[in-house]
Amino acid sequence: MHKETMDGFLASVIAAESVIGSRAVIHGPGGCRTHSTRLSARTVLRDYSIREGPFYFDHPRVPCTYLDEEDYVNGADYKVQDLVAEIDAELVVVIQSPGTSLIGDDLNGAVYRSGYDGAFVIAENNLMSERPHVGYDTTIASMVGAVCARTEVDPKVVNIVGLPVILEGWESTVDELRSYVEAMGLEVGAFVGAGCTVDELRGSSRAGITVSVLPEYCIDTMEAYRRLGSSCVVPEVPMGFGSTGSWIRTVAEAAGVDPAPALEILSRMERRSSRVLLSGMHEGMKARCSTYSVDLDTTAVVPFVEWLHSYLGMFPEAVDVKPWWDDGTKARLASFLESIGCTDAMGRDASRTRVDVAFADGYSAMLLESRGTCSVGLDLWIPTEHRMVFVDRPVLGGKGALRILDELFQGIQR
Amino acid sequence: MLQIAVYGKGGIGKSTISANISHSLSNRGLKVLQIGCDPKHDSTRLLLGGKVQNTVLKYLREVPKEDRKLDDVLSVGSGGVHCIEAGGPEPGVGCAGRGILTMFDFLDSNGIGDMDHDVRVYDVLGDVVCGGFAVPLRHDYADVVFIVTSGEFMSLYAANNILKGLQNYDNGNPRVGGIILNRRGMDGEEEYVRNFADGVGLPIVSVVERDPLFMQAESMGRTVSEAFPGSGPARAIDRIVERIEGIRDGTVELYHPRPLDDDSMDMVAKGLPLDSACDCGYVRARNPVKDSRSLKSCAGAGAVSYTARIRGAHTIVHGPSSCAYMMCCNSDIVTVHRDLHGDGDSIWDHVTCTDLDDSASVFGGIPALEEAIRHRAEMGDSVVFVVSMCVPGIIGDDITDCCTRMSAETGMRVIPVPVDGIGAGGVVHGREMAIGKVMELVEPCDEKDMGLVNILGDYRVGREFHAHMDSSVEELLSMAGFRINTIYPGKCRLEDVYRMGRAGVAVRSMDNLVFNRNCDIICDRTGSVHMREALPRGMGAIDRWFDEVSEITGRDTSAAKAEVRSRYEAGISGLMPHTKGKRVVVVTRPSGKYRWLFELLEDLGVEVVRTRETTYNRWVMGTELSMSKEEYISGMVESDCRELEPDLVLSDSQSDLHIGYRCTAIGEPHPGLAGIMDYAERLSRMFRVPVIEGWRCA
Repeated sequence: MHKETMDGFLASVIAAESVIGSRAVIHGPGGCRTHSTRLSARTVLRDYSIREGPFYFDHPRVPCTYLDEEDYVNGADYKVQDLVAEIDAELVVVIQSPGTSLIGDDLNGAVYRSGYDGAFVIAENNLMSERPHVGYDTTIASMVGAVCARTEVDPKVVNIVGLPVILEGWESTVDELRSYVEAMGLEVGAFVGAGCTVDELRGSSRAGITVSVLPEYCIDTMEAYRRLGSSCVVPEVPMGFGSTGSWIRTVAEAAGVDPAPALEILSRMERRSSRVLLSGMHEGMKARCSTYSVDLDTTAVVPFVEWLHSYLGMFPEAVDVKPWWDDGTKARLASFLESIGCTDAMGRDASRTRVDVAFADGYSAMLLESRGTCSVGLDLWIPTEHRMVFVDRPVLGGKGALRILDELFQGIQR
Repeated sequence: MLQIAVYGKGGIGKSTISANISHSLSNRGLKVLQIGCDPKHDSTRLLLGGKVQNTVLKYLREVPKEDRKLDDVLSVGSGGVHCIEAGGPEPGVGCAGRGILTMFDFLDSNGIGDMDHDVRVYDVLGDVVCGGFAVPLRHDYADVVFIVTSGEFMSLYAANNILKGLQNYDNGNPRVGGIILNRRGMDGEEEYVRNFADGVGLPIVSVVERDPLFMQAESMGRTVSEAFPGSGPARAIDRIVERIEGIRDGTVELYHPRPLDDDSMDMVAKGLPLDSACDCGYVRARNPVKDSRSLKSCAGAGAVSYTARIRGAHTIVHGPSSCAYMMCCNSDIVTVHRDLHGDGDSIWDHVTCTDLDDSASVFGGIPALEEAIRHRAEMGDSVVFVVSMCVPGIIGDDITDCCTRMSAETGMRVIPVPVDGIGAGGVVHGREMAIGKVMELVEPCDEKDMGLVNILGDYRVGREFHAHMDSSVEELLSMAGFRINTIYPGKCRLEDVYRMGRAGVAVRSMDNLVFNRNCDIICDRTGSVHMREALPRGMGAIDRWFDEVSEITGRDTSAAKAEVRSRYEAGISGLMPHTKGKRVVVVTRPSGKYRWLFELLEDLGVEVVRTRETTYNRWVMGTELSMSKEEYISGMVESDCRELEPDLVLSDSQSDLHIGYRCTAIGEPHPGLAGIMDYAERLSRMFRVPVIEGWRCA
């Protein structure tokens, strides 16, 4: 199914906004700001306040230079200079809109001339039409580079990277992963790019271990920490109970600690899940042998598909394969599908495959359900529908597994 | 490491001098990298035995990202000089300046900084024509800038422009190394250039004579420093290199850029002496940030909001994917789309994007557009709109020409809407242009049916509007003797657009200055009579609307008027117990129309204790009613509330919605009797909600 999703430019803005105390600045037209402001406000909740002035126009987040056609001809780096001069943030990330990236404004010079004396990043890479994880990762890595200095590392301090705030329920996942790390007697340096403060980001250079959540969201970021002397670990993506357990064990092994206390926390959630399913008697088995399609823009699809089969006995009919996946990911998926007799599902178009359940981004899930292509469409991945959400709807970790089960069975029982 | 940029007018000999400098520096034992920043990519030819090397931009176009390596674009020339050429797009397409930026991105992210060079020499295209070609002037790149010139005036003019470019990047540190005079052999050439050099306060660091040895060396594919060491030209190069050595060890000073103004350049042109080093006082013009609340989006989004509303037509967004995503996924467009066409209809079946990326911005986006149009032809479309965004606008993609060619090739009607993102202005300008293009589809019709009416919707016309259309408005139209011909934009198919010319009358769904202009464009094309009154909001407007219908059609509408008024009065009297004697403060927008509100408040017995008007809108027009207006400053309303203690603030200023008083947005009722009655009921309830709801206390 053809669809547009957010690209590297927009993801870069949200990455910059994901660090508390940092401020994304868009050098571009107002049209590039409108959605970014809305998305920033929804993804990282902050106290709302009106902000007046020519770069804000009432909206407090993501100030913008509001370029017009004249600026495209003559350049307008002085607008960045004026904007940054009055900014109140510990870290500023200036991001050029796709159009502005063509006019070659000297943004480094503009920030220097502004007199701003905090840390700053100029995101000059042209990220238009890039995948969102590329934009997110590139920007976070640049922010790490801007504020972190090499220092003595502590082997008991762990950074967690590759958890983008554009993933629904990220705050809940932060709480959960922190509880695992701390239960094992370790300290979290920072959830880099997932709600940490600038101070925490600065302090993250003392982490002896850096652990990924979604590896594609932290390739450059991990490299930045590697250069700072941190050991980088890429465990299984914690999606589903089994992979979350694997994530915990990998962290424990890297730090040389006992995973049991963290696994016990996870087990409590898993036990709850089992009790709920058992209490439903035959309804608890309704997912068994049901069919599904998956169209998620992440490599986490592979552990997810494995979990749906091993935990619930579900069978994939269509698994969308993204062109940017590495060969290892594709091979692992192909091998698994073959092992359960579902080879044909590999790369099949989810939008044309009738299934019981469709796991997709928000708009696609809604669309597939309303078209009758599936009985239940679950809004699971980026971009999610930007509705107002009052209860946690995580995707990852044990809590994410419970949420997925909850929505899956609510849908099946409808 | 020292970084040197060599600038000068095109064809002045920069590449020859750069290559000679690089070779001579390497002869002195320095590790040198020369980067050619000119699309014609011949900067390093003399270092490579006359061979033209593979360019970075060609490489980036052909090699997938994950396979790219710096070594693939780096050649080793004579004397061990490392050579890189940027290259560029074909003449007339894409953006060569962006190409230079892309090359630097690639070099920086692939470890050029980790290589052990003592000197980098950037050989840059002619004039500083755009920001891309000015990249080597930036502080992160050039530590020193040499300007190559001859005695020709255009060459000196280019030299002066380069100094202007440098001044734009000035951070207080001197960076100009001086002028290199590459003689053309004119009489008095050196004096002519010296006059300019004195004016801008720069030394002539070397005079390179016109000499056949350059030609001979070139025919051998070598630099003159290599082929004829010790010759006159080689010694001239050595003088430059000695200067560079002095800059490296701090014994030679650098200069600030002090370009001449036009009058002084005129004196240079006439060969008149400049008295002394003068400062032209050149100040770069500034374009202030406009009040953009009224330009909150771009012309591209405005255009798509009108083209994407026609079922049966397809819209191609020619630009990066974020443009299509931002305008379609979370905005009015998709919400309205779902409202009108049902949840099962995907916006992406009606809007696609060419997904332009960095490569397209360098090499041009027309091939991607052609492919997208062909795909729509394969899908069986008959009408396709192509809306261009900022990127194709800046790189100069000619979408009009492309659409003409593709119409001929595919047999579809491919209609260009060349708004170029913000190139055509804000969202309202884009809507205007799109409406003009959509109206090209209307079939001419000389015989108008005065019983048929076109409803001219605005971009927000969605499910709620249609619900009212189906009940309240349709009843009103029927009482006036009208049948609906087309609602555009609204639940509208291509066929509905084709037949818009049949309707004798057109009525706007709403009334505001900008929207009214859009409707004029539509009526110009359809030839329908454009009613002064929009679909009526409020009882007074209903009366006036019926009067105008009588005027246009000659039909008697007095009975209909009386019936509607009677129902209105009955409804209002039922609400009066909750509204009579209440006091309100009203904050309006200058471009809004509020007559209906004040009439309603009066009918409900509500007292307006103060009226304020916000002042931010660009298209300021007076409100219709005489009221005491004061300049609005955010925060005034809070002080009004303290002073007057109103029961309610009705405000169209977003900032007022956060004040610590009972406050609501004014908004707008739907047209017809049911619309104003729904609004009146909601208003009567507003007086009974808590002054501050619980969630606002937290």
